[in-house]
Amino acid sequence: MSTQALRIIDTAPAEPSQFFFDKPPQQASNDTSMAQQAFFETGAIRGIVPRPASSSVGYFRLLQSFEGVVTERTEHSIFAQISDKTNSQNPDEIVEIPLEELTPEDLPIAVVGAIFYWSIGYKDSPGEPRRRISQIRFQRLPGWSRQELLAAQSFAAEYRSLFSDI
Amino acid sequence: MAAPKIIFDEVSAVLIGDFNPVILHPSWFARHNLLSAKEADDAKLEICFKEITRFSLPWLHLEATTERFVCKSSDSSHFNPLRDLVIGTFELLGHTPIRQLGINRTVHFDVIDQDTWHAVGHKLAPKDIWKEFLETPGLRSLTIEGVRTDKRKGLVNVTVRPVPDVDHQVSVAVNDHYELGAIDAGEAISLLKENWEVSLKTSEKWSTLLLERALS
Repeated sequence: MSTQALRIIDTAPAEPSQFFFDKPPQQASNDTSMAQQAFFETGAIRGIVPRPASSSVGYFRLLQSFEGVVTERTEHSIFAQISDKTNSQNPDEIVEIPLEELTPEDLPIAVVGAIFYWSIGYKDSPGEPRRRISQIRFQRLPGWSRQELLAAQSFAAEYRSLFSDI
Repeated sequence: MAAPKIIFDEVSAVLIGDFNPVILHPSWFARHNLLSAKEADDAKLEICFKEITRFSLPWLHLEATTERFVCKSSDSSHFNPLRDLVIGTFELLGHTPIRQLGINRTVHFDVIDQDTWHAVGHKLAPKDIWKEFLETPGLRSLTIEGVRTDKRKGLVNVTVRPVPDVDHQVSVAVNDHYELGAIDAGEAISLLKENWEVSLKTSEKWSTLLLERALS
């Protein structure tokens, strides 16, 4: 077996298309020309297109997602009103979620009024078995700034003054 | 014919304006409660400099230059947290002039076999005209632009192309693009709050529909 033949076998299947783009079609070797010809004739070109993104990270197939608002927090759990984001026809529900279901970093912000996203789905990753995942993540937004608090106080004072004059 | 299967789904928010990348360190996001302290500690920081910052988390990739701010995620359970991160960032940096906003979604479909894959290219870009002067023409990338239907300035682009280096996969990317007033970040924040979920639902629907039509 020649060195050239060995090289092609060792690097298949990525090498043929890369090899092809480095040379005009008529210079491609016999080993690769069939696949490349079919590729060019009927569909699309690969290899030199900028990679838009990598699919090697896997895909989370979302089966159901909810958005929830914490209505009560006890020593061991939170109660929340959740709305189904995958099917808005479904009515809102009240659920109890044990605190141990939450990410430890989210515990300080899992207070009454906090919003969270609850996603249930399958995670498919290359080389790994499918996993079913249920994940809760609390919304993180910046708190009120001092400037915003002062503006709100000023606004409230203005209204207090307005109504006290009536 | 087996139905195409989604194997990759990525969403991004792209803002064009005037930014200060050096402050966008993971610790800044944690300090302002946009990321947890653990996320900031675990972030893979590639660079944080006055011209560019780039870091990633398992669910997030963020890159900011002086003219462009990009946040993207390929974890669909984090598409709304991604929106929150962008909104939170520019609520804090409210005076940042933002001239353009893109809400983008890229979906990769596995069309199961090579013949089906070729059929998509043929349907969207028939080769007859091209064969008159090109030898063995092939579809590399096709972008179709449409006007907005919501009376806002901007446009909508849909791009179809083969996924590089992978067998029989097709990428459909929808770019929901807005031209903004650029006085500050207010308009971009409002658009993200009001249009994010609708835009993502539309782009998912269009991607699937386009591939169905291409294969019908």
